[in-house]
Amino acid sequence: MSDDFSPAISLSEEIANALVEKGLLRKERKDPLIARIADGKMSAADWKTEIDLAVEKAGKA
Amino acid sequence: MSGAALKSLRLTAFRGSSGTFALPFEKGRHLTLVYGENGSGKTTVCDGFEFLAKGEVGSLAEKGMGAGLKKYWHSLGKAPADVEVVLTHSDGSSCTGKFAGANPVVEPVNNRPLIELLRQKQITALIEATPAKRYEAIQRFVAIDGVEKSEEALKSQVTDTKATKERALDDETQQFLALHDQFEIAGKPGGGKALEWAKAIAAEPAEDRSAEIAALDNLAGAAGGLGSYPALLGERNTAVEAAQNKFAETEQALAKALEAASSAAAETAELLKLGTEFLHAHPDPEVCPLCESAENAPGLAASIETRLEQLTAVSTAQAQHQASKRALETATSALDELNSNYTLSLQAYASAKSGFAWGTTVQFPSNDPPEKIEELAAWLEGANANIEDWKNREANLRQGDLQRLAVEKALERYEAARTRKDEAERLLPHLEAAPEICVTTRQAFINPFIPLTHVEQMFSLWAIVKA
Repeated sequence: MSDDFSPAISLSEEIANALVEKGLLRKERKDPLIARIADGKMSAADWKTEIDLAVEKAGKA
Repeated sequence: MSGAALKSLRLTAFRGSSGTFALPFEKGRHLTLVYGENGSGKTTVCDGFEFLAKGEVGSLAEKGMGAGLKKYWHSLGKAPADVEVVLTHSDGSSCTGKFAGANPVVEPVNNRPLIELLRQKQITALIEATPAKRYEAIQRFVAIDGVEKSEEALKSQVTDTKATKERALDDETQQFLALHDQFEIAGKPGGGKALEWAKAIAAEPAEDRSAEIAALDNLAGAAGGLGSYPALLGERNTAVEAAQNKFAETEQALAKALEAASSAAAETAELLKLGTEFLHAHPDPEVCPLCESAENAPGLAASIETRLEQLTAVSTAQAQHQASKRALETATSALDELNSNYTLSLQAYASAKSGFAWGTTVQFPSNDPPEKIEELAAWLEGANANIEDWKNREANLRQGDLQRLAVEKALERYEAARTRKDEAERLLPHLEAAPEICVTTRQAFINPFIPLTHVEQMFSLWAIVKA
């Protein structure tokens, strides 16, 4: 796993923040996903699920 | 290379370090930034690492002196033999570089550091390069390959979703055309639209027509089975009549043969008398008197031949009479069997007719089939229209079930395809936006690295630590 100081983690965090801001990621899912994004462990299906649920949540709000 | 963290770098009589200079690395830090004014020794630190890693000193390269530059590797006033560069790791292991004569020697070799070093010239080229080239050059230092892999997975999902949408659209079109075909086959009922028609059919409660279909099948089968009787009756009556004629004929022939045989009785007696006399005269004949004797009675041979013919004719007539009798019995039996079967067929028809609660849509002949087969043809003539109606209704019911099933399936597939397409269309804009955000954020993240590259040691030392 990437360490907390790695560029991958930093970039992953920035990406996660941007996605949350645009409603493409649920805020509560951001932290667990930062490491997964940084480590390259996000599969296509993972992205679909996360974005789908975020959009659904945004739609309900 | 040791996997342990760096602890210190000690330089003795090396480059700008005339004495011994030790650079400690702070424990637990992943990045070390070396900064200072010109001439403070930043480059010497880089040279020390390069000396251990590669046996070279890159800061002196391209000075146009080749191997002669080695005399500048040791500090002023010192000899090559005084040079010592020691890199110590947190686990106590170390790597030491010295000169053996004119050549640098680093031991142990396994503890040599792995480094990447960017000098001023390379960094300048990097700054002047396009962002894509800059990123390409520093990509391995930035080490965001995991993020890029996740980004690729996201892009892959976008591609997959686009493909899913296209496939679903194709399916939707195909299934709509299938529904439209069904709609046209059904004669475009109501003049409406195929989809509404299909939905209306699917919404109707499914009626179980199987019992009526089976009853109609049974009824039409029973009535249809009667149709063969008139022809069979004709055939069997003809057969009986022919057998009767034959029987009478053979009966007459037999009587005639018997009469002929009886009228010859006197001759038979005479023949027997002559034979007796012969036997008295020749009480002990050695050969058969009928076949080999020279003592033929007058007319004996002819009498015997006639008698034999008469007897053969009687035998033949008897055999033919028996055969014709059996044939007559068989024909009569077949006729009786036909009548029995007809009775069973009438019962089957009656059972088929009474075995189902027919609605008003099914009509029957005014009379039931006659008890006599001879009257059946007329009944069938009148019932043919009813029988055809039953068959048509059965076919229509079967067709209706099949059509309903086909419409329901096509509608189900159409709606499934449409759902997939709608789902993909709903999600696609969001999926497409996500990689754009990733790319934009990544580029913004990488670009700030470029202006900092003028601090060459930052890169080199950071690379060492990461290695």
